[in-house]
Amino acid sequence: MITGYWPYLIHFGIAAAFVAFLLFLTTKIKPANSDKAEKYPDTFECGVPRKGDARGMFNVRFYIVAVMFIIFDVEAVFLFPWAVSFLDYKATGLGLFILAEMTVFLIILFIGYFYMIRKGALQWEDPE
Amino acid sequence: MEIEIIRIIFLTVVLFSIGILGVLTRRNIIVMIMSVEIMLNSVNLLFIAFSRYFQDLNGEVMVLFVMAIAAAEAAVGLAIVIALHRNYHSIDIMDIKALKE
Amino acid sequence: MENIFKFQDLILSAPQMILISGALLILLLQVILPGFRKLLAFYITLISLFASLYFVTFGIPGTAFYGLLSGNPEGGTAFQGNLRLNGYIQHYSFLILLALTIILFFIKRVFAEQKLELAEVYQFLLYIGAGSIFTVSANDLMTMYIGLELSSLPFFILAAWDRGRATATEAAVKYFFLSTIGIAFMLLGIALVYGGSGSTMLSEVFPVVFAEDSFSYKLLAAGWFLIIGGFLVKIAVVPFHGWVADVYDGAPSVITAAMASIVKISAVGAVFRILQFMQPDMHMILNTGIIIFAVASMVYGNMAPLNQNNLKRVFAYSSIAHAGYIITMFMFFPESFKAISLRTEASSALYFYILTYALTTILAFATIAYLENGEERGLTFDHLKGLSKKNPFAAFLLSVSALSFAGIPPLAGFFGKLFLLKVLLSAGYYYLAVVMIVTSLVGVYFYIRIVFYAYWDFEDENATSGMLPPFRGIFAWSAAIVTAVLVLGLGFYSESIFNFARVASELIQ
Repeated sequence: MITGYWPYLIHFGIAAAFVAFLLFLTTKIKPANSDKAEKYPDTFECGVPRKGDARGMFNVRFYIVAVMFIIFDVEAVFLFPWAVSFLDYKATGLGLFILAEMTVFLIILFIGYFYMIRKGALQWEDPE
Repeated sequence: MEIEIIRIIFLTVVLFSIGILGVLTRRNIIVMIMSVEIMLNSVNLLFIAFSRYFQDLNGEVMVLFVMAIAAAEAAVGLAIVIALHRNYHSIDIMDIKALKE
Repeated sequence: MENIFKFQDLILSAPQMILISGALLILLLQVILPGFRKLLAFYITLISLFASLYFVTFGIPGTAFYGLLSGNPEGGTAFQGNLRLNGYIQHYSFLILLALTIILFFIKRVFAEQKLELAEVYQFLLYIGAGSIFTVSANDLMTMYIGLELSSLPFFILAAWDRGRATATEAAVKYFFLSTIGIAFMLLGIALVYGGSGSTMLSEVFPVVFAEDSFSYKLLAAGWFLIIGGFLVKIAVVPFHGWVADVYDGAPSVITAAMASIVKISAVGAVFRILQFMQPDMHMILNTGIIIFAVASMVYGNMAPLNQNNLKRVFAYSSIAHAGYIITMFMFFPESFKAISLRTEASSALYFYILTYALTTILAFATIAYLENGEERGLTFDHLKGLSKKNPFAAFLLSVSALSFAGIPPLAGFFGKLFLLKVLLSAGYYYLAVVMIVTSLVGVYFYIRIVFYAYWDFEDENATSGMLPPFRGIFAWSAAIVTAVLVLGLGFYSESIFNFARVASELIQ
């Protein structure tokens, strides 16, 4: 039934009224044509004058570091379940095997990591 | 409170459809890659739901693999986008049409 | 808790393990050896592929790993049933490794000439091989998904390998979206199958029995259809053909050869295996869809290239047409066909067809790779004028592949089509056989056109001279000759290969 939704209507009404009230308030208390408004015509940003555009260019090196971070970060997802269940396996006498298995995984991961360093993916030098 | 499984299936299908729509209608390739990620993650949600429903861990293991592979896929996709941008100076799918007959 | 790891598991997955180890060895050597040579990477790849081929063919004596030649091995499962090994899977593994070895030889020469050769190419080839074999041999949908991703991620990178060329990166980004959307659909299907049956393991999904209208049954059916749909994206049949022509056109031609052959081999092998795990009454619905897809692919694939002037696009469309022929073999799973053993007939006909298709398509695209030699856009028919005088070997290779695609009798492609038609006719799909014959007759036109342009004496043949390089490189020569001989000669041994594959097909599960 529609009647069950009237609290939402009230809520909506209050929200709309509040917005209208705030808009009205700003027109009243805003300093009209003050010196400060002349001085800072830009978007308000913690009182600090704005530097440049938010959609500026980044060095492409940031992108490579970010991609590397994502890959190695997500691989850690396999470590958590392993760590949680390690003690259970250890109790059944399979601890060494489970440890060896994770070691193999980490060795493969580290080969990739050193390959990345070797290729200079983490070296920070300006392209120009 | 238990949520019926059918609702999660509906949620998944809605999210998956949002992903498909994103891939089909958006023109920015980065946004398209994000839409693919939405598709994969909606499936993850379904795996988690079924996993809990069956009290079976297989589904959650699957989620871990999907997450890892999705990260690799995103990395490769972004690398291709960088190479593409160097050639076309645009990542708008409508500008990428050197191969159109 | 019993011991969850057996050494036998590693032996049963020997081909994949060898390929992965080879790839990791290349990665490791690049880290620890400062002056790492590309040639070393090539030889490591070659040795890994040959070792895998050897084990797949002859097996490992004294273990449960039977080879291709040891009759009809029942095989076994490895890693708690995650991997399956049997004669059928060995057949497809052999095919994947064979195709990969031939492509390796071509890539070595073509990429060296275009200054694109890096050790990573070989590493990616090994990952592709391992991933494809994992896809075919997976007994668990989870393993299948990972195998598929392992084999398609390197393809995204390899398609953009010539990254300074705009068309290559465009092909890569299109292939990326085509493939990831296909795989996302398949993943949704896997989730629904898991929801319907409570397991992702194929052999556990199958025995679950449902009431026809129960909720789980609907989930399962939707899941299976989505999985098959995802594979059909990989096989590139018509409703999903999407950007296939663009991708095959834009990617480096040797990589296109790998894409058109290996991806299809592994996808077909996997689909034919998992189809029998579907509940029998779903097959009737699926068959209707397959007939529509197959007819659409045959018609589109043979009509679209008629006014096409770009050689690579002609072969790309023809690969769509051949995908249409291939998927007709997916219709023999309803119970009624089991009794008359049509399913094994279909399996071995499909195997022979995909064998000839893979070899022919590799030959075609590799020859094109030689001829274009770094051109910005692919070859057109005009470039072929006078080819038989300037480069008779390339003209011969191109003609062999075109005639085999067309299905001219002594070549392998003819016998492949013959087997498919025989199976279709004995199952009573007369109209499908008629569509197949008519569309391939239409297709003969543009295949013959290639041969005509390569061999006919044109007046203005000097107009495009100077851009067709001679065929170079001992590896590429030998690979080209072996492939051409196989395409020419396999037809004469078609019956024995067919019977050989039939033995393995009796135990597909």
